[in-house]
Amino acid sequence: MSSIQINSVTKRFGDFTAVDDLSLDIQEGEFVALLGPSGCGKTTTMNMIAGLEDTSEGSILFDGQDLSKTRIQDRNIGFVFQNYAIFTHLSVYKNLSYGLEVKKISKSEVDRRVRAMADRMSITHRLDQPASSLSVNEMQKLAIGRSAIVEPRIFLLDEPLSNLDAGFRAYMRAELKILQHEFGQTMIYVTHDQIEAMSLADKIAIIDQGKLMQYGSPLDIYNSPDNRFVANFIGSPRMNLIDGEIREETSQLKLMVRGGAEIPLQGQVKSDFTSDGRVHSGSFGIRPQDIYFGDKRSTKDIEMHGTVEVLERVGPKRIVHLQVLETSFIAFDDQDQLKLGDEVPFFMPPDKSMAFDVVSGRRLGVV
Amino acid sequence: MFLILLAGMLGVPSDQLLAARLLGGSNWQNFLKIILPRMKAVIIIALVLRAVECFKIFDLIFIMTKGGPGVQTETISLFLYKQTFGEFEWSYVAAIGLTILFVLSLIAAKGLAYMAKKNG
Repeated sequence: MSSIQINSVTKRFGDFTAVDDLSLDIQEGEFVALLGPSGCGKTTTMNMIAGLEDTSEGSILFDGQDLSKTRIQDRNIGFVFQNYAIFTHLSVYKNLSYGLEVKKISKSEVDRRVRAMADRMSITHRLDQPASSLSVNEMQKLAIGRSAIVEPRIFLLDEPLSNLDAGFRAYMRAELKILQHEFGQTMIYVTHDQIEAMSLADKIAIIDQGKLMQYGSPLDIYNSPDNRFVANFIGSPRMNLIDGEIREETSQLKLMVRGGAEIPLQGQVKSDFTSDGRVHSGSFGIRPQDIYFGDKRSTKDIEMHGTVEVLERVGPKRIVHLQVLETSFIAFDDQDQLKLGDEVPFFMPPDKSMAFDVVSGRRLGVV
Repeated sequence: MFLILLAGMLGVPSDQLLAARLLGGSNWQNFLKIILPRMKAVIIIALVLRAVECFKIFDLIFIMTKGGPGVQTETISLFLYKQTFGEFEWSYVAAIGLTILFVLSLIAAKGLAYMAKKNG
């Protein structure tokens, strides 16, 4: 078990910068998810931690120790590949025992540990069968067991659940969390699926175009995104992000949106927008579940009127698309009270609303 | 022969080799346990091709040594030629020909059966 410090790591492939000045501090025993859209540099980051790629600049320290000169074989890093990389020409038993046999551990000890791991991963009945005969779900378990059996200092998982069917993915998510708790291992998990990251990780590092956008606990990232990218990326359905010009008219600060919609800014979000006097183009953000209908709950809440354009049923709730001139807001209708074509008032609490600078994307007003 | 073996070696999935290295296997261990077993089919094909060639080879030896010195480089095909056009032992040659056919058929049948079993 190790802690990992990634210090200002940059990786270039020719002119292309895949990872740009990335720093992360991962504590011993932590479960960290690297989350980002495809091609954002998260797998490259993981490969650099594993030693499969060299860094162009910066250093990666394991318990304060630089392993860049250590051979991959001697690093003792557990790695679960996206396609599992199971040795299909060997039996399940031989797959599990490989990492122990190459270390010249006694046969009886190898046998004891293989059987214990097979039992833990519930593949004992498959031990003598060729690994190629396993189902995808069993291969997944074998891949994790094969890496875990050598008791690596850290565990790296590269989108391990992306090939699984939906039902087994949910099961495996829970299983991975239990395994991590049992092994007490430092785990780094690469994914583009925010649900996996949110449900599994102690901390999430959101990466976009090789840059670290935010690093924090899932709740922190959800409730308090540092910038417009994170706000837009996390949450399903996505946060409403409305771009416009900040203007003062008749002593009322407003966000003027293209197409004519106007959002009156009040309370907390108003002071957020005015916190940096140089910002003139702002982005107003609010999560769909924070928009409400019916009676106004507080005089400070922002009131707007919109037409119900689309209603989507998601379980007991419905997702409402509200059209305000050319601007669309998404909200939840949990009382089944709206009808298509209705013109309804809706309310947005200023303390649940967020302000971003359109140009730089940074969050305004948060120290 | 070299090309066939090289193609077989390049056909070993690179992520499996990486996985083997990450598990701590040295290059030699990984070669013995991962690369070589995966090349088994290719090695068998290369050996079969070589064996078939051994039965066929004639021109090169005929031109260079004619089987000599003594019978040191005399292959079956050269021996057959000598028996046919040197000794005129027609019946002997026919018998050898049939024996070769029988032996090769047996080997081929075994080989086919092995491959059919492998393919399930």
